[in-house]
Amino acid sequence: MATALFYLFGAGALFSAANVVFRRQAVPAAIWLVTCFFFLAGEFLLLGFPFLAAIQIMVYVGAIMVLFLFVIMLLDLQAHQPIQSQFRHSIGGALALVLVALAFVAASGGQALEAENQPAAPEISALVEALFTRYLLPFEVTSVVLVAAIVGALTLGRSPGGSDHPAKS
Amino acid sequence: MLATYAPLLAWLALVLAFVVGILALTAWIGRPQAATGKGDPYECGMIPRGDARHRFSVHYYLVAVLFILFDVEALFLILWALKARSLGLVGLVEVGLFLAVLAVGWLHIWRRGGLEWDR
Amino acid sequence: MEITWIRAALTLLVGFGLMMSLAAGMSLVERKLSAFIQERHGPNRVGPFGLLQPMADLIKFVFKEEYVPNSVNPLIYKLAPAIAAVPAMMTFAAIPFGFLDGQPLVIANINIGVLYVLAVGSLGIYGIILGGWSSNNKYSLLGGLRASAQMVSYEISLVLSLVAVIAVSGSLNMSEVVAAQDHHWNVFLQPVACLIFLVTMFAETNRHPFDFAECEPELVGGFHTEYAGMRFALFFLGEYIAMVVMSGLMAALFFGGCDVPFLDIADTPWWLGALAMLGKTAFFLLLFVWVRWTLPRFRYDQLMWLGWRVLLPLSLANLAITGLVLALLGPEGGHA
Repeated sequence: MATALFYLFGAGALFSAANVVFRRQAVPAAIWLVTCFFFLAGEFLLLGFPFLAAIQIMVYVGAIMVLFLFVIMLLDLQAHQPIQSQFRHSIGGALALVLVALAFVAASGGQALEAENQPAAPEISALVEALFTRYLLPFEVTSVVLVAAIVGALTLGRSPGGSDHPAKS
Repeated sequence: MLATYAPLLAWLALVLAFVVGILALTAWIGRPQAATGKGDPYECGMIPRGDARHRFSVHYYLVAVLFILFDVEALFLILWALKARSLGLVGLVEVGLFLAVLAVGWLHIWRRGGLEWDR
Repeated sequence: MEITWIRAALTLLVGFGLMMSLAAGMSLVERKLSAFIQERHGPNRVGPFGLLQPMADLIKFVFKEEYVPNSVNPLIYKLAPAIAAVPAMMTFAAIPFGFLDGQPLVIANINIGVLYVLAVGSLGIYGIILGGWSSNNKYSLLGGLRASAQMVSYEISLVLSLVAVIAVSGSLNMSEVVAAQDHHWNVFLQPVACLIFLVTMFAETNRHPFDFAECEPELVGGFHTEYAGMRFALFFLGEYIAMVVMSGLMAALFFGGCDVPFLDIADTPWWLGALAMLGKTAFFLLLFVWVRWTLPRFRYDQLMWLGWRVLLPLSLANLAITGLVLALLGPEGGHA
């Protein structure tokens, strides 16, 4: 039952991801990406890590995709202006796909990843212990990365005229 | 894993069945009837001009970015909160450092007017 | 003792009935109480004292014409009300109503319940954004944008106020948080977090004094200007259920849930505990209406000011003080 669901969710995630790429309109593509994230959250749940599933939904769906939708609306990408794709863009996309696949194979050390072979997922408390001891430095560096993002967003948000006032509609 | 989440799955099925059912019922009973002008956007009696989907203030983008950043921060805090007692002062200092860096960012936004909606 | 599947199924069905009755009841109570505050009668024609008004509303909504305005995005326009209603209804499953035979009386006893409510609750924003965007109406787009920016701004303070509760209780399971409050409710341990949650609860449900989603004088109906009939009703159902869930969270996380004052949770009969939980939830539901006719609406820049410059630092400071106290108490510090 769990294995069947695992493959079902995996297929769903792949189908949604394909739809994200092939949709010509920005908002439906964004909605398909949300669907994809839901299937991924389902996979995390099946692998015995509900905490990760909740975070997947809370951060990716509840926050990042909201930003995506805001940006799509901000740029005024309308239903009757489908995204134009060019051949050279496709080449870049294919190249990126190959690179990501290579990186994935390298990271997995050439071993096949199977749901059944995974060790039992650790408790949240173990995660907390690891975060605040072994991975303390990455954790602290995260805050610097977040602040860098804040500065970047502020800079982008300023109007090109050089005034300190963000552009008004 | 499945046993724990079976009630939630059943609840999802119940909720979806209700929403889909009631929308189907109303679609079946309340069929649309043709009439002129009914489909126009409602703008208080004025004749609508142009498309409704305009570009809008970049402020909304700033708010959304800030939200993501503080949302991620809140998630780390949840992890800390679960073990706040046993992590003790060391944990507090670690989290405090994390928060202090973010507070600097927050102050930066304030000083640069990123939080001012009426300018 | 394991939960039998019969009990699980019964909880599910009773829970669904309860959720619907609370939402329907709230729609009537809001009108009745508003009328009382304004010295009017309110609905009093359908059934005794207008008690059957929600039924009449439902029948009317079902028979309303299901029309789609010109130049909307049809699919998204039709999906948005369902997207708004479903997350609110899903979060209700995690609200605990007490203990029966030593097992939590809740539709789905999720180990990470608080996080589940936060995660699923954050999806409610999609119905509003997509509904406002797909409607092809300037008021709708502005209303949807404003409402989503508002919800996003207050969500952080909401999460942070709950982080303080998690730190005190040391658990993400709602029923465990309730059990930990036997004799000392979190409202006494975390008064500031409770206050922040109270404010954000109004903002997250788009209710007065933060109802910019449908600010009538400026935006007609806000994001649902172009909606009518059952689709409009689903938006409202979602809003009312979100209010029920927020009140339930307030009662369970800050006011001891099923804990009756001066009684041990273990000694309380299950029906008394459930009644206590319902009573506390009902109080906060009434508070929504009370506040609606007491406070004027904010201005939008004031709203943002309050969210980012007052509530956010306040909740972080509260968390820092909580952390300091907990760290000083140490792992064996017991409960406060």
